[in-house]
Amino acid sequence: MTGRRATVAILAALVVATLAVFQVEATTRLHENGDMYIGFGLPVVWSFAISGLIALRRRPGNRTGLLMIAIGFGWLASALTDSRNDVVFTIGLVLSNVWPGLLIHLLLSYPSGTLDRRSRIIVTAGYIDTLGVSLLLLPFSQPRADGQGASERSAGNLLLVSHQPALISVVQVIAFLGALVVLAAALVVLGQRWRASSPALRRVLAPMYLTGATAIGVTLLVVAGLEIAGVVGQMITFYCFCISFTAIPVGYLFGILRTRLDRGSAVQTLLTNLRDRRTTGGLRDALRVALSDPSLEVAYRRAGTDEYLDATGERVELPAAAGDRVATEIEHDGEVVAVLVHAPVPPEETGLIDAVCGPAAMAIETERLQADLRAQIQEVSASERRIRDVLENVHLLAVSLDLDGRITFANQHLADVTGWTREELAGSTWLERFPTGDRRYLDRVRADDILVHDETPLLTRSGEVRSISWSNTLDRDAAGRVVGSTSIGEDVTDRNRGARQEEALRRLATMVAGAARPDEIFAAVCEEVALLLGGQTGSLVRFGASTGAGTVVAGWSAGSTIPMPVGSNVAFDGPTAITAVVRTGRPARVEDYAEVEGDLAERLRALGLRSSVAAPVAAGGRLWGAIIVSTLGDAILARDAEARIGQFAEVVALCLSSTDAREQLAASRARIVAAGDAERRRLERNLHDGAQQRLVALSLALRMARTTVAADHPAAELLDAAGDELMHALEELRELARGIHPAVLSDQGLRAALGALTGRSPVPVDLDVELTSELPPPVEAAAYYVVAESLTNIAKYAQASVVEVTVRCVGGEVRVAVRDDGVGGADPASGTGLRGLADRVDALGGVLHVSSPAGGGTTVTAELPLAVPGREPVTSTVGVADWAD
Amino acid sequence: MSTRAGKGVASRIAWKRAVWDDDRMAVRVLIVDDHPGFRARARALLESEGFEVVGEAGSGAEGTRMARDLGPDVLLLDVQLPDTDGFAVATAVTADGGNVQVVLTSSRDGSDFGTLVGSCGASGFIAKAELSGARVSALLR
Repeated sequence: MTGRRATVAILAALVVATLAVFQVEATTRLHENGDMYIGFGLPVVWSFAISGLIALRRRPGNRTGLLMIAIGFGWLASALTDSRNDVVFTIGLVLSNVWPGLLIHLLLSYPSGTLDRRSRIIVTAGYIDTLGVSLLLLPFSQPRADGQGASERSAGNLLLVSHQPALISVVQVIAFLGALVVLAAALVVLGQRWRASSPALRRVLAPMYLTGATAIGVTLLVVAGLEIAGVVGQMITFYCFCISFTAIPVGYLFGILRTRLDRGSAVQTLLTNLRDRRTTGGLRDALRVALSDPSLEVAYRRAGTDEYLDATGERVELPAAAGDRVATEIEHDGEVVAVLVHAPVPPEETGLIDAVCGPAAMAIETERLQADLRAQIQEVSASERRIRDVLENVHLLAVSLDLDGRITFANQHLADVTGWTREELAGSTWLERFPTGDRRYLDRVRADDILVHDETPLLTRSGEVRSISWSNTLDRDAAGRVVGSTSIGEDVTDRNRGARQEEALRRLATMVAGAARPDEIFAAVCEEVALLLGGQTGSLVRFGASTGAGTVVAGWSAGSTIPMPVGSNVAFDGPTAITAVVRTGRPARVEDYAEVEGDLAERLRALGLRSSVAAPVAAGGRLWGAIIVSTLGDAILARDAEARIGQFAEVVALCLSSTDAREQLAASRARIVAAGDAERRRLERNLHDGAQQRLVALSLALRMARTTVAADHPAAELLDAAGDELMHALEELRELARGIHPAVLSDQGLRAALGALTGRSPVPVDLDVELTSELPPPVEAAAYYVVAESLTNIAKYAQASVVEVTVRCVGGEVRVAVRDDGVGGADPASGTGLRGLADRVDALGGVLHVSSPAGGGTTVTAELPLAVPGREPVTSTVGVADWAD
Repeated sequence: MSTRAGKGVASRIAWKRAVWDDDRMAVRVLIVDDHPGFRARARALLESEGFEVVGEAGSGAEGTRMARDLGPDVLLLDVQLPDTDGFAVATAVTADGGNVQVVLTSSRDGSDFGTLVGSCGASGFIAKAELSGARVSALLR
């Protein structure tokens, strides 16, 4: 039914019909005012027909158009009853009353062209009431044509059976009542529909309903009061009737136009609003205005997902398919970019939505991207917040600087460590707060060339220096340019100090184990502990027998002079650190000598000392002394200095007890050797005084007896033999005695004893003795035995031709050397007596060397200190000597 | 054996010797030793061989004094003396310029003393066990 052909056909039919009516009216001249009737009736017909055609063109599937065309022709049909032609007349009779039913149908089916159940009942009733009644009465009615004179022949009803005016009247009354009911019901339905409509729908319904209601109202009036008011009244009534009916299609056209206008203006409005939009959700508001739906919402689809967000980035749930809200998809580039959630819209208005969303799709795309962007920004912000939280709470220093070196971010830990508040840090430059910082750091940042890891000292507000191990990164903007730097740092001061302390203690322990001299160890302790704790000077003080004073036994200073020189006297008065140690036996600290009274404190102040920490040294179960570390000038000591210094005090105690033990051991060995020697001397003396004397006396008696006997006496031979035997015995005894102890050594001294030795030696000996001082007896004995043993070995094994024996006093020791030119190869471990010799030499604190390359002769040297072990132990207290300060 | 008895025997032997050899002048000897037993035996021995023992001293100081006083020809001197040693006495006595000849003796071996014997001015050393008049005479100049 679409297309130009149909349109042309209908138009042609209309023209023909109009001409026919003209013809009819012209020929019949039934009405006096036939021209008037034509003039007012035809516009109704044509307006309905044209509107119907337009509606048909617009919405081919919609019955509205057909109905309007039908109404047009139906109205035309009522003129057919003016015809003289019987056929035409009869047709006119049937069709002339149909148009009210069609009108009801039109109104109730507007705008969709379909009827719901209730409306269908009403419309069916209307058709029955009109067409049905007409058909029903057709056999029984012969109505007079209006205005027909009695004299004129009227057209006849071809289907007339018999004229029953009474039946006609009754049916007509019933039909009238029925018409009233139908009309009322229609009005009710229309009224309900109006009330239930959204504003958008109402805009669509308004023109038709208004005009339709007016027409119905006029109809009712006409039906009710058609008989009154005379011809003029009838004319006027008719005119009103026509006008109001003409208004219906006009209303329809107006509705269409308005829609078009609305559409255009809505698009205009939308574009204007979009252009002028300033707030988020502007698109939504613009659409609301354009579609006249204040409840409209826009949901943007998140790229790549099935999530929908509103303009602020919050998630939106789409409405279910059924329900009082509808979701319309907006597509862009073939992809759904957004969804409009709105009140249901009449079919006509979907075109509006399409028109509106053409430009809106672009705006939607923009807003969608903006919503996406906001979501991403939120995520980035959240992510930044998370990073900030981490930086805040981690136990590391975190700081960000800009290109001018200004602190743009400093976390709480940095504030805690450095002693500045975050307010003081923010905005000031790094070098303002930390003047000892690296001045080249900023240059390197600007040059895009920083050290990723470095360790730098940090001067805190209180003056303490902490070591921080930094990890540095550069901050860049979106274009990749450097805009600053961020650094994370770990306070490794304590860890470094711990490592340094361990190393220092290890060094000192090695010194102690290696039997370094105590004064060397003490000086090293003072230096290590002072350096470790950040002090400029360290001292070790030994307490005197009384509790009032002590002596400095070791010291170290970072400068050239030690404030408390070694050997100086320290009197413990006033509340100084060392006095506290003496009193309490526990570590003590003085923060500032400026606040301490007393002579000692004044002296220390005069020396430039600012603060001290002292710790006790306990040895031998008693308080032996104290270590003191002090600072000069403005430096302060580490917070945990008292704890750390304690370990070094233990090293000192260890050294003291170790030295003590060593010396006691040496003294004990020397005593053992001396006791052995004394025993041997006693033995030798006993031999000499006892057995030897008797044998000597015996020998003399024998000789005397011999002289009294003549040479040829038999007793002479016996006596001679006895005398020889006695000589041998004496000789053996003398050898034995000499082996036990060389009496000549203790009687005549080393030189004589060595002379005797070398005189007895079978190998020639070149003896060279130079003694510049008196030797202690143990040393003499050791020297003698070295030579004696060596000469014995030479005689037994060396096959030497000459021996050199040298004895010298060098420094604080005696050097004995025995050199032969024999075969060498002497092994100290193989029972040549060198083992025992080494023990004897060792017990005196000396050293024995044996050098005996095979074939190269043997050299035995001994170095014997003149000071014999057995001094007083170091751990006892000494009386304090007053040294000059 | 008591000294007196020993002395008696020795002197009787010496008198006999002196009766038979009175043309020979006896060498005068001073014995210095802190062992009285040795002094007696030595006297007996020497007197039986014709020496004249003019005195006995028990210490270095006494010996030095008696040597000065009695002017013996020979000093029989023990190295081990209570107050000093024989070498010191020998040195002192021979340094005096007198013509006393010192013969050192000791229970110990001469080699025990090395060069000390020669360096103190003594004429020689005789071990006590080997003491005899002949040996003494051998050492005298």
